[in-house]
Amino acid sequence: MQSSDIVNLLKEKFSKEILCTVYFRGDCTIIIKRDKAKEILKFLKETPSLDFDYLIDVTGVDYMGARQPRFNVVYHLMSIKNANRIRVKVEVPEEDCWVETVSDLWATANWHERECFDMFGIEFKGHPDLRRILMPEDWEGYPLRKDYPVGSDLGDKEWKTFKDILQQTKERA
Amino acid sequence: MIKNGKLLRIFYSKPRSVHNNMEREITATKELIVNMGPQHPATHGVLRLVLDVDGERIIKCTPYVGYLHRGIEKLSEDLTYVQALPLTDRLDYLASAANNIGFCVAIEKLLGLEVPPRAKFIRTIMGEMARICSHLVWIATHALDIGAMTVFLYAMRDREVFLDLFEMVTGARMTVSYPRVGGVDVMLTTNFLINCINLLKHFQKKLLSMRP
Repeated sequence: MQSSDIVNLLKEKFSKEILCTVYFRGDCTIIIKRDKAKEILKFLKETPSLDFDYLIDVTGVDYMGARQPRFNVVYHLMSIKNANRIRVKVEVPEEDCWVETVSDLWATANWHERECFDMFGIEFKGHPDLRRILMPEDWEGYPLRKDYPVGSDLGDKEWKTFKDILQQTKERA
Repeated sequence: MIKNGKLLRIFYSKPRSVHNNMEREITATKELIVNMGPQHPATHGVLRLVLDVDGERIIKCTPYVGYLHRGIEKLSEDLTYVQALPLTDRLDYLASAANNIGFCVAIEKLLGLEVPPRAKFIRTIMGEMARICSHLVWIATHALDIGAMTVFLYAMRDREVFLDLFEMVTGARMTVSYPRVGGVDVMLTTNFLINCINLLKHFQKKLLSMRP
C-alpha cells in the first residue's frame, strides 16, 4: 500500500479532522486536529490493512513566533508487516496545552510521552504515570521550549537543589 | 545502615516521595526499599533503580534514567549543522562514525544533495569499522560480566588496531567527526588501505579465537 492510499483512506473516514498532508522527499506527513487525534491513531493501528503496530517516536516541536498554534506533537508510525512509514502531527495551542495519551495503544508511548512532557510541558491526558523522566523531579521550566535559555544565563531559573547540594558539601568539608 | 530502627537517608537531592518511603519503620513491614545506583558496578553507566524488595525478591523497580542526559538537542539549537556534527560523536562514542553518517545523511536529505560514490564507499568502510569496534566492546564487557577476563583482553587488543586505523585517517581514535555534509573530510591514504587490507586478513582468525 502506497502512502497516498493511506491518506485517501483516512480522508474518507476523517475528512473534517485532517488539516493537510505534506509529501517531502518520500516522506508522508499528515497534520490533524487534536480533538479526534487518538481516534485517528487508533484507526491507523487497528485497521488490518494499515496495521501500524510500531510507534517509533513521539516528540514535540515548538514553533514559537513562527506558527500558530505554537506546539506540534509528532508521532512516527511504522507498519512492520507492510513496511510503511507515516508521520502524524497534532497541533497543540500554547494556552490549552494537552493531547490524549496513546500509551494504552502502544506501550512504548509511556516513556516517550513522559519525555515530551518533561521537555515541552505538553500534558498527556490519561497517562498512567506522567512524571519528568530526564530532568530531576524538582526542575522548573521546560528545557526544549524556544523561550528557555541555552547558555548559563539561567538567572532565577537555576536548579535550586544544585545550590543546596553545593552548600551541603561545603558544610561537610 | 540502620539507625534508630529507621533506614539511614541516602544522600541525594530530593525525590520526596521516595524519601518519605525511606523513613518508614522497618518493623512496620517486611518490604524494603533499596536504592541501586546512580553509580553501581553492574550498570555500565549511570542509572538509578529504586527497588522494592521483599527478602531476595524484587517486587517493584522504578528506574531513573536521566543521569546521562546531556541536552544535545538544546545545545544544537544555537549551532549550525556543521558545528553540531561533533556533538553526534558523543551520542554513542563506541561507534561515533556511524552516528556522524546518520546525521549527515539526514541533512543531505533535507538539502536534496547527492553524495558522490567514492564518499559513499568511504563512509561504508568507516561505518563498518565503527560497528566492529562497538561490537568488540560489547562482547568484551559482556564476557567480563560473566567472569571471562581473557575475552575482554583479546577483544580490547583487536579493537586497538581499528582505533589506530581511525587515527591514521581522522586524527582521532574514538570521536572521529569524519563525514561532512555532502561527503567526507579527507581522502583515505594509501597507508590506510594497506593496513586495512592487512587487518582483514588476520582479523577473522582472531575473532574465531574468542569463540568458546
